[in-house]
Amino acid sequence: VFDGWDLVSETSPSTPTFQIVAVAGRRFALDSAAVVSAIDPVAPTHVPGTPAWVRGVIMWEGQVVPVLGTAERLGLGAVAARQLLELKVGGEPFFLEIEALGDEVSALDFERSDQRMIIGFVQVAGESVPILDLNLLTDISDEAAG
Amino acid sequence: VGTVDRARLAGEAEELVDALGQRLLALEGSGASREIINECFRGVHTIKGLAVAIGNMAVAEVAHRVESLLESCAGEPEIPAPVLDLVHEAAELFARELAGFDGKRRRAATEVIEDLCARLDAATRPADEGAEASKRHLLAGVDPDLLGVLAKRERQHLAEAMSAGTPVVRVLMAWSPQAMRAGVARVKSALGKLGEMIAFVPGPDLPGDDLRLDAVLATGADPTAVTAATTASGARVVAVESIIAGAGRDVDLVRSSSRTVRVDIRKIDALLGAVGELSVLAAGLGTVETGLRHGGAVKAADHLAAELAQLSEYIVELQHGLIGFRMVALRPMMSRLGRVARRIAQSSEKRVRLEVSGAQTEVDKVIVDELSEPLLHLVRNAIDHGIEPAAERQRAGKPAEGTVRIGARQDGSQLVVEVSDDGRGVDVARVRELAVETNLVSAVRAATLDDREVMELLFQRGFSTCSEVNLVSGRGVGLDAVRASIGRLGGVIGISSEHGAGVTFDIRVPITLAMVHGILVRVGDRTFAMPVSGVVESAPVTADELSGAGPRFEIEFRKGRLPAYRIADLLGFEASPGSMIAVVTGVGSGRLGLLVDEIAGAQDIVVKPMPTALSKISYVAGAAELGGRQTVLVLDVPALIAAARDRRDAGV
Repeated sequence: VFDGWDLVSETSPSTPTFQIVAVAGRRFALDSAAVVSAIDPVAPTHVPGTPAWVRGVIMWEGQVVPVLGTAERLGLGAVAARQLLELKVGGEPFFLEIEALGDEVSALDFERSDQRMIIGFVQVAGESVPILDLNLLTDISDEAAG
Repeated sequence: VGTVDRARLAGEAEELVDALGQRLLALEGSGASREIINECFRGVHTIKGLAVAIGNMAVAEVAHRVESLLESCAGEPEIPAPVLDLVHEAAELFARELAGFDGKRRRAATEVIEDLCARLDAATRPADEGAEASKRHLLAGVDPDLLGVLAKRERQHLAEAMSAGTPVVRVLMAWSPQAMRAGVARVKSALGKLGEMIAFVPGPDLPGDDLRLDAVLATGADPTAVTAATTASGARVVAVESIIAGAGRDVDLVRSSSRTVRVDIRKIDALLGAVGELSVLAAGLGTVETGLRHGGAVKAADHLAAELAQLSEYIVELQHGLIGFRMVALRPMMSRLGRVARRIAQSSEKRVRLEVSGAQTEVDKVIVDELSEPLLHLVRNAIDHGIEPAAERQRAGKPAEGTVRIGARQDGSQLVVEVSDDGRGVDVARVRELAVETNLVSAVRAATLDDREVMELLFQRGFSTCSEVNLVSGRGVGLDAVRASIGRLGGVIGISSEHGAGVTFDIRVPITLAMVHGILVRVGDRTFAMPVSGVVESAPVTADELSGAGPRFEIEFRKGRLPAYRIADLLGFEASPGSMIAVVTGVGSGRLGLLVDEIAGAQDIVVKPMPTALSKISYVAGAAELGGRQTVLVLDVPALIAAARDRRDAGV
């Protein structure tokens, strides 16, 4: 069933664990290895010429870090953020707007998915929670206007 | 020798080599002044000592021979040019081997050292024994790495070709392993038809599986013909290069390779003073704590406010002091530039004098390093394309010797560098024609451009006024690359020229990148920062002074008209126009106005680069924190100017 190790995390050496987050009233799972911390929302500075779901940038620990509107990115409409989740994707920091931070779960296997932005589904307490494709989610370049 | 020592010695070596370079240039100007020869001798002697200290015996050997050579020249009325060339070559070897040594860099091949030693020995002998030496002098300018791999017979062959005045090129070829087997013989016969094959030599490795084998060819043929013949024989041509040393590596020679700076002890003392004050302040904060504990909250708060104000003052002082550590004089870079310029002039067989002023100006080391490449390019352009051959100059009533000037000065928080020559200047009419021929602009559009705008086309990608392929320059890097390098430093470059009288490039870059002085501009409800280095001045614009329907407007500025754009239009966001201020940016021909609502202030900002995911967003050079957690985008003024120009060229 499981053949997507490399999609989950290049470095994850043991059982994959997922961070559950709430976005626009739904639950999503993220590769725990990419999660750094969660902070209170900070008003980002908008960058002209970026897609609407790129909220802007904030200065964080001496670096300029993009803040992404997760709900809008997933086509769930614009929702005000309650928290910002700091991620490291491909070595680069990002903040995702989330509503709430949930549990961390381990899962030995999960179903694959062909849906855009979704790697697959992990079973949490009998519910199928979609696992977000962080590489795609944070890819601004393909839709950015020069 | 420890790592720290190595870094320190490398810095010292670089200074020694620079000083030697300056004395050699003086020697050239003054004839064989005993005094200067002695200074050179002492310089080389110190370098020898340093080489021994770090265990580079090969360099010590070379230095020893240079000493002997200089000694044998003392008392001569004039030092012959080939001898000077040899000493210059040795100085460059010292620079590469000592200044650049960080343990990683590959040392020169033993044969290169041996060859240089042999040539130094030959030149040191009395003149009547120097028949062989004169042949060696012919090879003095040849890339030492190449000489190192040539067999003695091939070297002789090369010297003969060069004494006959035939240009010699190295054809850099890449081969697939299958093609190479039969291909080499085919290339040999194909190139043999174009000139005289001197040797096949191994080339530096390429990424991938391709094999490298280069041909050394004496030929008067056009490089395109050489490329065609080689390609037809099954090899991929990487480049056709002159074998004159450093034709493609001048930049390495001009750019400083050391990552260390030497700091004046007084600068350190000043900082230590500030740190001392900080400790006093820390003690003062202790009394605030005591005050709070004993209930005097309001009084303690006042006390705290005063101490905090002091604290920020000291932090600024420390920050400025540390930035001061990064400041170095332009002189070493300028003197290296002089060395390379001299060699370019030699190989172009023109008479050129390089005049440098303002070399004492202090600039951030990073800026100096990054500036070396564009400056070298401008100087090379001036010598190759600007300065005319002596005969042509005399016909035009100019002195036979051309002059290239580099003048530097500080202007507030900016460094201003002017590179000018008294050569043939820019033929605006010809540039206009070429721009149309190369489809840079339409014929209709070209006719509407004024001279200033036509000159601006010189900075466009793909523009070259020189159709002949020149071995020294004209190899791909044009003025567009120069402007891009300057732009990366947050600076601007403009050009002015009088046909027949020369060209002047005007460069403005910030003195330091660690902190830039920015002005804050408001557009709608957004605030942006712009480095002051990109700003000429700002002035309110009334409705009467503005014409045009947009996005391109024109404003009246200093009795002329200036194109102007709303920043909101260039960046592509909505903002209802309020009152208008024009921020005038760019230099010379590239000058234009950017329309904003308000100037919201000015302050020193530390510009942080944009995240990789957003690096494709042009117009934004980075972001900066203003305090109070407010983050602003820092506009990339050169990119905005380029965007405005593109819109105009597209006829928008």
